[in-house]
Amino acid sequence: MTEQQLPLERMLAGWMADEATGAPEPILAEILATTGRIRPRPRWWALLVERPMRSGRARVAVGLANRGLVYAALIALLLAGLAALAIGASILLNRAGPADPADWSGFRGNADHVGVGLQGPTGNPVLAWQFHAHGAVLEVAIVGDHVFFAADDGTLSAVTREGGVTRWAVAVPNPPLVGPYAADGRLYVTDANGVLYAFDQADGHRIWSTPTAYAVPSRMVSADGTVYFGTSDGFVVAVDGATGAERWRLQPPGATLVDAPAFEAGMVYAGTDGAGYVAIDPATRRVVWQGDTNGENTGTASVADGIAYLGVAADAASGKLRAFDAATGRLLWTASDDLLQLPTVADGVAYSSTVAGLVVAIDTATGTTKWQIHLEGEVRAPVVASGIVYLFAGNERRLYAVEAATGNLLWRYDAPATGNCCIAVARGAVFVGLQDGSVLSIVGDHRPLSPEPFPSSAPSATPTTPPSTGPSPTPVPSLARVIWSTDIRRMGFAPVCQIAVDPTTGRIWAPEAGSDEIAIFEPDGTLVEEWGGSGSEPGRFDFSRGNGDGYGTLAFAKDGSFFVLDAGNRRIQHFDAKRTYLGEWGSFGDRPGQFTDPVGIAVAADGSVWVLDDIRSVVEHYGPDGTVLGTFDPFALQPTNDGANSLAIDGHGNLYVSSIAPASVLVFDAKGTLLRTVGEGQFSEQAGNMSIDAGGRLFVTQGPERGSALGVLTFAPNGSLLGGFGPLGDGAGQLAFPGGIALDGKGGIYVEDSDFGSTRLIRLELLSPAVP
Amino acid sequence: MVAVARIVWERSEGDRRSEARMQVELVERARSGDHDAFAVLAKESFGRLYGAAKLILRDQDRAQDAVQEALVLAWKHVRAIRDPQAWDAWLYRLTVRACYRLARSARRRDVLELHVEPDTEPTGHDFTGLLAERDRLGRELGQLPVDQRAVMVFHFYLDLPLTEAAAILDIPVGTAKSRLHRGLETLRTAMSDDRADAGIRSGERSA
Repeated sequence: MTEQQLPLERMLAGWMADEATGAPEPILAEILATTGRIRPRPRWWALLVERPMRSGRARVAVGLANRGLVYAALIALLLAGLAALAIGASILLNRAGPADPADWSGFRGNADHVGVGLQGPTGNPVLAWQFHAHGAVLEVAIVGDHVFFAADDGTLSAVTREGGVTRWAVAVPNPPLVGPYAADGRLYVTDANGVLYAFDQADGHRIWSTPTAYAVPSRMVSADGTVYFGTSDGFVVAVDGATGAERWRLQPPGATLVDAPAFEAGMVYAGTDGAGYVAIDPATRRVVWQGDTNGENTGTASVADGIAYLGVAADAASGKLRAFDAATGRLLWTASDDLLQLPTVADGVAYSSTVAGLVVAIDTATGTTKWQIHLEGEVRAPVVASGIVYLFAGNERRLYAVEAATGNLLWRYDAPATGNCCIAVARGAVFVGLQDGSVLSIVGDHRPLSPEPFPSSAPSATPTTPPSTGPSPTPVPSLARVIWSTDIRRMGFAPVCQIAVDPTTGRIWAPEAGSDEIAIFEPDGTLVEEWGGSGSEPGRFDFSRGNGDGYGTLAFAKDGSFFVLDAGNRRIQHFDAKRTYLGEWGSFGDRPGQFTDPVGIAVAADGSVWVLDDIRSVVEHYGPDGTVLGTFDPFALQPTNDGANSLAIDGHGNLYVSSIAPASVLVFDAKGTLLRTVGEGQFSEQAGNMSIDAGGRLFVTQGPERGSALGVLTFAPNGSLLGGFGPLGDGAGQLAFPGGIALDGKGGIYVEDSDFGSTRLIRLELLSPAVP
Repeated sequence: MVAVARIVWERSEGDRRSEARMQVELVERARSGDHDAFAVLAKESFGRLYGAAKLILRDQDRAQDAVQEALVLAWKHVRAIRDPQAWDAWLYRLTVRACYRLARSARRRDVLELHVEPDTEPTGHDFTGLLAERDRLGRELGQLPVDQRAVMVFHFYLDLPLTEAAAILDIPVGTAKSRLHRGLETLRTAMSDDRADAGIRSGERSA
């Protein structure tokens, strides 16, 4: 008997056994390295989240038998807990607790202003997310799973630490704001009028504001339930953190201005104009000592290991960094270099910088310099975590990681804009607020680093080059810069397909291949909701192709009504702008009105609909009710049809079909006459999804096989290449596998970009000549 | 000959029992947070899981992702195991869940890549037909819905009874049977069609 005559089952088993060989061992090593870095979840958690599995005699072998009951019990407990919380809220509000050392309360870390975080990024820098606020962001606070910051437009925001997704945002009157400082479940900010506010970290509601408008309050700190700050008329002020009532104010003798105070071991320390460096005991409300600062204008105070430091203010023309005995006020040493600002202090070394770019490491015992490096100016407020000093060089728009022990360079990271103040390091990430409103979260790739001597004599900066243009080796000009970026897979999304922008609301609609839902985002990247779900009923979708692979998209008409290409159900569903189901058409087949492999959809200005079916090899025209109006074969004139990726329509009603091989875009009029071929020889990969602006400019994605070419190419209405954006990568301004692309009609473009580690939704601002 | 076969059988059964005892001990140690024990378990299972994922997904890269996802999840949730003897079944479940997720989230570009099969080199008079048939089998298997592929892989590759496969896949036994039946029927039809028009489809577009 030959094998060809074997029963299919036996043949299948044999074939599978042969086919399944060759497990790649490096992957196993990678898995074990990954799991070695994490700890198993607690048993109660694992039991609860893992779906139950039964063994032979219906015994539950994994998870919980009655998870539903447990969830119900938990919900009941939660409700009871909430009730208890409500009853005891007033008590809790007045109870202050120490800050979690893993958090970052605000400017320079915690109340001592030492600037040391517990855990920074491990390995090379990787952009986790980029948030765009509507105004410069100076500093951030990190508490648990949330990041808080205030933008210059007066918006105080809370975003998730993992994904940069907005949890809440409130408008505070009279911007710009100073702060926030996070403590005891509250956020403290002051406005431009000098009013101090407290907001609830959980939901952003205003808890209180002071009835007093203080004279230009300094940055504040909070300790033991009290908020401390200095004023420009020479006072140190203490306010009750729970109620906002002023507890006391004190003017050190001779003080005409009090700068940002520090709090450490029950004492308040503050630099002043006119009274030197003062230490105040808040219990007795008396000045314990006054240190001589030689009449210089001082900056923010910081205290570490029994030493109270006072650097010069950022805008001072002269002055020295000084160290005093925190208990007695005795001057210990004065730094030899001028204009050094308040230091960050770790392991007996103080790291300080000047606005001119000098960074020094000073032995705190002797005041002598251990190492120094030079950057291109505007280095302020370095921070330290786990033996690494993090510096932001404003002029260079660059974040540096420097080995604390040696001053050697570990890595550098280009930011999309300059920053003029403070970075934060907490919970495995560095957070940077920038002048353009960006907030970056930079994590590590966990790979080993190789320190190298710092090129102190000649920094490699190119300050005028925005990093989003990237070191693209192609001679194609970059036509966009990143406004914000958010990692939507961290929110639980599977990669999405082509995206669309609702013309009436500006919201971004993204089909989710994994859940058959459509995720809807605000124009600022905030998730609004997910809509739909799996099924074949009206309003349900199957975003998958015949073999189970994910695919689906949608297209809007001008009035906000829309058509969903429900690929797996081989139909088009029509909804009005309120998502009311209006009808559907299509079934599996190769006749007019049927679909075999629909991959692209576009709505014309007159409300009619065009659909590209790859296997049928047709572009078919329908009325809004599904009546077939016409059909043409886009590959009729091509030597072969190697497949098409997507369909788009311009303002003149011309149809664009992106072709796989040769990679190009075929442009037809509404009668199916080929008008031109765009981009032939200019794509490095198959032409992907498309979006066309009102002026006829065409934006086309190409995938990761493009090598050094850009991820999105832009063509003029006549088909000539204008440029593009997104060199290969997952950093700011880079694109790995751009999938969805949609213009917002306001000079911006949204791109959905995926690689194995993340799925990002990115908004970019287009630059000339990609915009009129 | 019979005696030898019996001795071999007894020894291998003894080995199996011993291995099962050792696996239970390793799972218990892993459950208490012993990563070394988990590493041994992962090494033992890796080849099987990768093979199953590769057959279900018909793609090596995604198979690696699926196994990685499954084993990382297994370590994270190892304390959810109440019966250590269910370790293998649970790993299969985690792997197939990862496969489903990856299959559904895969890109259109992947589809095109998946369908491109290398030309079959004629290797000799007696084996040409056999190789071509095996080649077609792989191609046709890739055309089946992923849930049918999963049942077939559990049954024919992992050698699990349908009752066990159904329990792992969290589906009724009847559903598992019908998926297997439908999958086999589709393959039979496709293979017989292919035999009928072998050579004609070779020039067709794969997408």
